[in-house]
Amino acid sequence: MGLKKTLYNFCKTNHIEDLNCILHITLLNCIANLSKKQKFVNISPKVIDGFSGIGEELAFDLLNELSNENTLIKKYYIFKCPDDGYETSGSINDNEIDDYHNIQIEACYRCHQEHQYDIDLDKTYEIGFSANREKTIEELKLTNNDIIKEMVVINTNPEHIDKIANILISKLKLQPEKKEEVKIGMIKYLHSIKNFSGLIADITGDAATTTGNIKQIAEDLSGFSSIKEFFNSEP
Amino acid sequence: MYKTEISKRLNKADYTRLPRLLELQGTFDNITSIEDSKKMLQIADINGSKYMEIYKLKEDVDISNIIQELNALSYHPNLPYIEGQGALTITKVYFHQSDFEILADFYTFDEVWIKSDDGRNQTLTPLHQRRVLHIKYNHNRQKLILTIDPIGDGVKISEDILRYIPEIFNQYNIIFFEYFELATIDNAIYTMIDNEVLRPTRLKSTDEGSNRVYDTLAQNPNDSLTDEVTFTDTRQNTLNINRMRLKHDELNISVELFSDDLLKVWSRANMEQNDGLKENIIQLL
Repeated sequence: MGLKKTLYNFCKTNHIEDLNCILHITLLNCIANLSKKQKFVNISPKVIDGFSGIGEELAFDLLNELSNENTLIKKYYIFKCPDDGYETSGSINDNEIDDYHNIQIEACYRCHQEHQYDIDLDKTYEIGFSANREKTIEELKLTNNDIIKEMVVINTNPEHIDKIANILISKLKLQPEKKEEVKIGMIKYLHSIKNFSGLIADITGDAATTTGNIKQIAEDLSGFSSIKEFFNSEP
Repeated sequence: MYKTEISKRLNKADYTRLPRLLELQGTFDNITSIEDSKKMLQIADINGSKYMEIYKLKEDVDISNIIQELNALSYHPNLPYIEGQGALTITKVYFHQSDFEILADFYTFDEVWIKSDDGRNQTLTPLHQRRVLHIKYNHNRQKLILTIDPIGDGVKISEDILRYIPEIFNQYNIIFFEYFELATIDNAIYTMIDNEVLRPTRLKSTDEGSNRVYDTLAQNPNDSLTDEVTFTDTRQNTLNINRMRLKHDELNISVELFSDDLLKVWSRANMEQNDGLKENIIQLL
């Protein structure tokens, strides 16, 4: 099943339909907005929760659901060395496991031996998720229709505007003490809606694109001098 | 006895297809002929998890001097272990024109993880372990590939190899290092990383100036450490490599570079995986 459809179904099942758009943008932002542009990126429930506020547990369930329904998001297990319950022995993608009662880690990172794990008996493993960056961005890409739909939902709740502002701020290279001030200006702007669709459409762009867009917006509008000054002062 | 040894070396999916590969009658489980079992063990001996070094033929040496000293020997593994008879033994010698191949085995006494019958616990148990050393020279490429079963961990195996090589070649009055020199393979490995053939997943390096050790581990099995500063510094020799674990995604095996000339194949690599990796490296040397 497609990621958008799975996300929609998940939100519906968990009665968080109004967060569908925020989670969509959060996922896109997590996958795209990393300084380390590797082929596969790690997606953490903690980060999803940080931007959406759905709670780490529900964020984990969401990623689990996405990985069950689509191969672009992979669930993986991290196992611990039996000789030391804290040190990582190795990790393996869920789709590479043939037998959950005999999972082989051929070369333990700690003791360099081979270990076998049984998912029912070994309770010390951790679960993580990773996404194929380019393909996932492509599949989650926001269409004009998505943006129109999401803008309508976003405007029904001031908290959503705040979350979107946080996501956009996270993409900008700002000094920590200036972030709150820029965020206030941005929220004012997001409420005004003009050019909002452009900002959201570029959510997967790099910091320079976002900075450029926001700077342009600041120049276009009167009353947002604080944002304008920050970007004008950038080297 | 032979089947147990084979199953230690290869994954089940690989050793059970050996009879078909060798055109033997019957399946792996119902083969009873010792000769057929030996044929299968010979393949298992040269595959699986290995340390690997590659040697280059020196200039202005005549390889025929080595070939004429060798005596052909058909494969006869030293199995089972008999107390006091675990020293290095040459188990096969083969040569054709200017190519040659030598197999040898010996026993070590090590502690290995053994799973309890109910599968709930693993304990370290001392056992005599059969080890195989394989040497194969290809004159077209003028490269000799030496592989040896893992003994311990890390670069110490290089010292062991330096001891084993004379033990083998002295028997034929050949001074090995007059003909061959160890090839550095780190540049070939970095080229394979650039070409996305290999993906670094763990890197441990030392800054000799500050004596700090940097150890970075990618817990996400799909991650790559190529964007780490320590990776760049190690590649540029600003940091000294201790070990770099790498994943070969196409062959689905893990390997580890310990220095500029010693590689370990961690996975119980089958025939295709082993040959594929060697071919990848040799092409770039």
